[in-house]
Amino acid sequence: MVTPGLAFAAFAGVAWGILGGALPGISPSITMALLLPFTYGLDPTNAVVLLAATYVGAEYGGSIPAILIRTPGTNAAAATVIDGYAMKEQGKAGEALGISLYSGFVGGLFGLAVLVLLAQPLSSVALAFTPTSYFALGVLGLSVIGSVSGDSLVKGLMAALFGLMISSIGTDPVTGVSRFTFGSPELLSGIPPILVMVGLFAVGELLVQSSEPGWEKASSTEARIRFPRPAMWRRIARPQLIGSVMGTFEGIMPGGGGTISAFLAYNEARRWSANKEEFGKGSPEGIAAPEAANNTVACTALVPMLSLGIPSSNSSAVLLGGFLIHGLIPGPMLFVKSPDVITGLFVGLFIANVAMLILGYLIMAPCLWLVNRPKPYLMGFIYAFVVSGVYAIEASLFHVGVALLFGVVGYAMRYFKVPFLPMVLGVVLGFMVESNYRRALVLSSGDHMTFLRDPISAGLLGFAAVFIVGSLLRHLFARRVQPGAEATV
Amino acid sequence: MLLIGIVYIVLAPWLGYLLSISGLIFATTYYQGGTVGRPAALVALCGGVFFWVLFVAFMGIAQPPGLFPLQP
Repeated sequence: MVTPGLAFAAFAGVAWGILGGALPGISPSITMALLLPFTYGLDPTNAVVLLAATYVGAEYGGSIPAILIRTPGTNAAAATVIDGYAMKEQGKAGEALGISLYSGFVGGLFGLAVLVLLAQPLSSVALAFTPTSYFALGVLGLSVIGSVSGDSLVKGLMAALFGLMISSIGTDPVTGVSRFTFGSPELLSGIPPILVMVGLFAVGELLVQSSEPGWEKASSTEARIRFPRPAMWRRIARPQLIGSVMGTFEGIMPGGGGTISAFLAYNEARRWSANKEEFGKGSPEGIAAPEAANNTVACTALVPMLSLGIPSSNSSAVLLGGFLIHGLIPGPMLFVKSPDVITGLFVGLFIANVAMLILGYLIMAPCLWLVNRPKPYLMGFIYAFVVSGVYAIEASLFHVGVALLFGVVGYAMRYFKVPFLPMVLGVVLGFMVESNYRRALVLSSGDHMTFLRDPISAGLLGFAAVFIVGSLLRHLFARRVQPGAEATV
Repeated sequence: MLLIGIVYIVLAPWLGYLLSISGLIFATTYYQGGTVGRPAALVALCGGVFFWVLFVAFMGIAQPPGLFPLQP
């Protein structure tokens, strides 16, 4: 079950994730997107393990600059800054890093257990899925747009519509007619979701970072990790549990993610702590809770992605792209068609968590060396890595141009605060929704009632309706509480 | 940054991967405020060789060959 390639992918992914996560501004999704093109030539199981392990590593990596230079490497590590940097100021940087690493390990294993327990049972309904059910599943996926739209539902809907438009480029799935190709042979097969993701996440972030100032330097002398002693284990056990539970709920819920779970975990750990007054002044519990939470999310975010094909965060959307590259369609049938990939992923995630514990200790020195390099050189190398990776997909400079174009789109979306995930959902789910809708109608001789007669389809559409109504109510309520919240749209 | 990428797309089919990716690193470093001089050029060239060895020679991943392709 554990092949050398699988173990190597898990270790390499974690190492890459820690390095990427430690660079301020490079989020886990960007770290994964940079690697995405290079997974083409890999065995499918190793490829998805590499990406998932990158996610695991990046969640820990983000805490390194958060503790050492008061700059979170990832958004999810923002909560770690509060007590992590305070501990560093007290000369306990090594202890803070140790608590972060150990708590991330505990949270990661907890999340993996939840993933195995929740994702597997859903496979039992896989064989009952028809084109009608797949259409309804796609609609359910699109219905979470309201939950992942942030403050503005209108912006989220616009982004999703744009994504759906992009997914319609190429050859018609039923008639074979070319659509929106403008006579370009390169567009006949459509725009691969990977180009959209690399453009939005990686190139867009590079364009943003090019106008940002450089970050503070970290001192290498204060960064020796010290693992917590048994007394500390007992003290941080409760916040770790709180963080793991928060990470479980937020990982599964669309739009939750590591950042929200980390802050919720921090607040709850403070509420239930006997040492409330220490929070904000260097409390180990204030590091343990958010770090356990964001590493739990790295596993639990895969529950809706694997079982229903619905990414609940940017990182799981990029991982979904990794599956699609290898012709693996996440969703109920994945458990039937490719059980080896699922098993390999579970095993790979376990190895990744162990690898995080080992590499988190060993990789600290090169990590600090990288963070301390001059930003202009780092940017040059990252840009070179992106264009090389995109070209490698199909040996096409046209693809490099498309990725750059989506980089500009990503830059504009960041500027206008338009969320990415609805657009990615549109791009990824658009083809699935359209092709299965039309197949279902062909099979039912054009009878639209087929979507309500199929019990799975009816159930999924019912859930989608609940999601849509719930999102609308939430946004309407938010507008009432904060009048003019969307006045800028 | 975008212009640097576009120039890379235009020049890579002629110059090949090694030279064009070195140029991209050098131009990005300069644009980002790095000092222009021999060290920056050397880092860019070393970067180009590093990427060529990693992708073309070691991993066998296709990159723009250019008019005078280098064989690993």
